[in-house]
Amino acid sequence: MEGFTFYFFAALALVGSAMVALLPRLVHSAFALVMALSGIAGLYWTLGADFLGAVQLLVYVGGIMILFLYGVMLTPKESSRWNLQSILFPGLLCVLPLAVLLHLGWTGVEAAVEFLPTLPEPEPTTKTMGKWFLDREKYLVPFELASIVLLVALVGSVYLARRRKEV
Amino acid sequence: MERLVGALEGLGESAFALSLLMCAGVVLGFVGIWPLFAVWLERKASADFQSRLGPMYVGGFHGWLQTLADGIKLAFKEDLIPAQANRVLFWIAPAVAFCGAFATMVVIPIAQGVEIVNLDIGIFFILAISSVGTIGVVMAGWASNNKWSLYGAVREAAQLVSYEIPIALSLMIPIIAVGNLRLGHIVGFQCAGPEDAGFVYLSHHGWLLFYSPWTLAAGLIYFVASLAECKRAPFDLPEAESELVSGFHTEYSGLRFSFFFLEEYVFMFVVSIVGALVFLGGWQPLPFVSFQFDNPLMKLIGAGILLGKAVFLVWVQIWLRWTLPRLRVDQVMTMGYKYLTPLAMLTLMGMALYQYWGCRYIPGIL
Repeated sequence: MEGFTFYFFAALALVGSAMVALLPRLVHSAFALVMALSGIAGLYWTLGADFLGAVQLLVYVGGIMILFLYGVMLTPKESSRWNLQSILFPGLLCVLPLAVLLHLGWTGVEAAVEFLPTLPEPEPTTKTMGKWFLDREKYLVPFELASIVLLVALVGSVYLARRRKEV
Repeated sequence: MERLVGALEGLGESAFALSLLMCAGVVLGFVGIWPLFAVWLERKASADFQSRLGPMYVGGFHGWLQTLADGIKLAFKEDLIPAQANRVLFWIAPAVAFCGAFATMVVIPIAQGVEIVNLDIGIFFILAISSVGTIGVVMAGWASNNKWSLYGAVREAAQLVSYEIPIALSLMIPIIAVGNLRLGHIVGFQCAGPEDAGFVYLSHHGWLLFYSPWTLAAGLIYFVASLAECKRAPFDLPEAESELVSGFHTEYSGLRFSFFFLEEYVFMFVVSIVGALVFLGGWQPLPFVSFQFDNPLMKLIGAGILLGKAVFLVWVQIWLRWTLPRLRVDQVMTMGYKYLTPLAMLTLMGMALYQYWGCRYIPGIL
């Protein structure tokens, strides 16, 4: 069961990401990104991070992707086919991190990644997260800082979008 | 359902998978049958509001089989895909839209302890998964390659992103009181009573709608925002048939069109049953007097009461649709951003302070 859900969501994330990179049309890439992000939310759930998975869906799929699509849908329908030349440089850039990851995965270096034979029993995370966010010893300062950053972004976007007086 | 899953657990993993499939079958059956009733209710209600008869012939009693006949007709219609449409996206879109409404059913408890999964994030899961449906509508609007559809999709995107904020904030207010996201616990809070409670007892808190002035305000905000979330009049801008033909599903026909239809009615039911569970005491029939719903018979009665409340809320949605005129686009945005969101934030702060100062047992006084 766990194996099946893991492979299903992993395939969703990987195929989605590949489609984002390879599809010629911008809108198709955006929809493929929805698929990839949902796959990642599913992976979080498989690993027992229920709250994080739901946040991933709510923020990325339900919020950011919709705004993304909002923008992309109204752009002209251009398509850019990829060929060997256009992906040569990005491809070379990807080779090194991919090689490192594959090496780690292949050899299973315990120091870098600890492979668990079975997944741990999923535990509810919401309560702990709520406590830690408001704990001075833990993450109170980063939490408040993040909310200040969000507030600044909010005020900034209102400033940019306001109706200017005609001069 | 819980006992069923428990009994099957001993049989190993394949039986567990089978029980999950059975749960999915039950939900799918409900999702298929509920719209038949809701559409009939809506047509009869609209006829009453306009002094007409509505469906009268099929099935004998007030045309109660009319929707089934319409459903069969839709299923046998030709599956048209416009030549210039984007075939793949056009094909997937109704399924994606339907998924969002369908998946929310998984965490909804229908009686005490009767739910498919008891997720710790309960209500938050509903908020998160229902936002997936929007993607389907946007996809349909874009893939149809039609200006009306695209306008509908753009409106849908704008409207749903804006009204998600007041909905999430207004649902947080009862959660402040309860301190738990599980829907079962939220109902449990509303019928909590003394330790040695008999069959009937006075509950400590009562329905959350009447728990404090803040939760009352939250309930009203939730109801208005949920109308916008399921694209119901007066917020039915994404389909606005007098302006956009029929908005995002202009190009859809037959079975694919009916999927959008199902999604709308199922989502109406979902927001109503969540409202009934969170604000109206779930399966408790009276605001401040609770009953024990612990044996199977009482659970069945409780499920009936809960469904009754949900159907009543759906009825109010239908009633509003045939009473109020549609808002303009800018009015919808004004409503969302200038009124509902600030109100929801104020209510959230009020509730937090109310809870902090510990005046929770004096209803009506801050």
